[in-house]
Amino acid sequence: MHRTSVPMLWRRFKNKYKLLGTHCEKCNTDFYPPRELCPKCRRTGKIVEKRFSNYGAIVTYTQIYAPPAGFEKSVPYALAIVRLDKNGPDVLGQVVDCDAKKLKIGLRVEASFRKIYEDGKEGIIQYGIKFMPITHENL
Amino acid sequence: MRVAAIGLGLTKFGELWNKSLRDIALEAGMKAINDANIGSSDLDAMFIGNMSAGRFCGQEHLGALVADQAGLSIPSTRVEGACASGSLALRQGLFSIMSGMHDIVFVGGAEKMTDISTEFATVGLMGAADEEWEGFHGLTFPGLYALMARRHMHDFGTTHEQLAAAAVKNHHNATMNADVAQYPFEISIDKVLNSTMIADPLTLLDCSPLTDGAAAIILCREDLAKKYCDTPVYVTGSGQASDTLALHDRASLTELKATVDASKAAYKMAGVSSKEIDVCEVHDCFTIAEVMATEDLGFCKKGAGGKFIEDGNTQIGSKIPINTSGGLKACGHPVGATGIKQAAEIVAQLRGDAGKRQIDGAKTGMTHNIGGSGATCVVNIFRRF
Repeated sequence: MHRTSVPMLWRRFKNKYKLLGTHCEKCNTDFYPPRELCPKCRRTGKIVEKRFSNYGAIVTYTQIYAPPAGFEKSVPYALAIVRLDKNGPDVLGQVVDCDAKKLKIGLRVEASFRKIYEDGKEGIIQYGIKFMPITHENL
Repeated sequence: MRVAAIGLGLTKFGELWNKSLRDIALEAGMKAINDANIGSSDLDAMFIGNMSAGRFCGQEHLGALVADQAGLSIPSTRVEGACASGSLALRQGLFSIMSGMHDIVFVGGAEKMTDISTEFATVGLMGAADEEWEGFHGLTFPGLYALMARRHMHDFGTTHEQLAAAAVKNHHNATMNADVAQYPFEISIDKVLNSTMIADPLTLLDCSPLTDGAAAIILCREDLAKKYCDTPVYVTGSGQASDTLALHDRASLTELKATVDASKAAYKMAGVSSKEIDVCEVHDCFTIAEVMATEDLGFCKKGAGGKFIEDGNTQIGSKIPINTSGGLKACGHPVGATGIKQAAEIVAQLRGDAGKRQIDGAKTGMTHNIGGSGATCVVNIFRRF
């Protein structure tokens, strides 16, 4: 039983492989994942593509010990909601290359392109964005 | 036009390995029909709440399945809103009578969750969240509520001990509901804190279980209710609201806006406020969910829920008894059946049929049922006159 199919994944490459979402030019609101309809401006909104910052800070986090199928090998793994810089949207992703003891609300992180999981033995290998602590912010 | 609940039926909740989905649906349904003193031919329609029989048992088309098992050929419709499917089915039954289309309606819920492995059940349940942007990253339901718990602790100083107090109370209530409850035994705060970690900070005993179970209620037009039942309980208010599927899209991580909106609508329709609620079943899929519901329904201020529960305000005999059935935590959480089970508990309380867990003089009761991490909420208010 595979969780996703090739087309399901393929049509989201653009947005899943980098932090590319949308933006409503009328009310100046960012959307990631992308929205095609602005909830506030409705039909009068003007939606355009927008690339968001790769940097942000943790708003909340957890460590998963009871995984869904496909993630068994990664346990325990950290997941966080990250608020991207420049008032960017809140984004969910795993936090990797980080000692669990260092996880905290406010921790500065940056996006990194990583393997997410293998969808069974014959399924697709899924890639996407994870976050890791910023190592070179002061450079 | 008011609508009355005139009969209810519940199966035992638990790991029912010797019973199938159709077995439990029929069992709860026949109990409700017998309890209502009606014949099956009196029924005009059926609404069946079920979240994911397709993933849990490979079976869809639940409306027809339940009608088939009951030997009926009346209209039967499946209603789905993740873990709020049961309350949605009740709402559809309510509408169908209020519209004048039907006189007597069967509303039920059933879920069979233990025929597959925990890993696949976890994936199946994640269908209630945002699969493309949450499930994709390995997020689970305990994980979603852990993200809310962490932020609630950060913003309001809520402690794990306070969360645990909700589970301890619900297990205690379940000991008085042993005919139905999955876990009718006591636990302690220490036991919750030291049980297996599931999604930090939530441990196993912060989480509701995977459960098989079914529940059914017979709804009836007000003017016919006394013909069948000496103690009809009326549905006086009902509210429903939606929010974003994904948690990270919401303005607040410590409030479920759908709960606030749905309860406002239900209070308005019933003409009551939170102060007039004598007994309430809330959606405690995780301990933090009970804390937030206690706040969002207006029983205490935002951020004060942990202390409110820890101080005993929600125990039987106290200010506002919450989850007298044992809640989702200890009574069990067969997702599609939960909303109907909550309503059945409130109807039993208002009839005075709740045995050892009876709230003396309860006149007005409420159910709060969440789908997903808060993308659907249904609040129903019941009253005896």
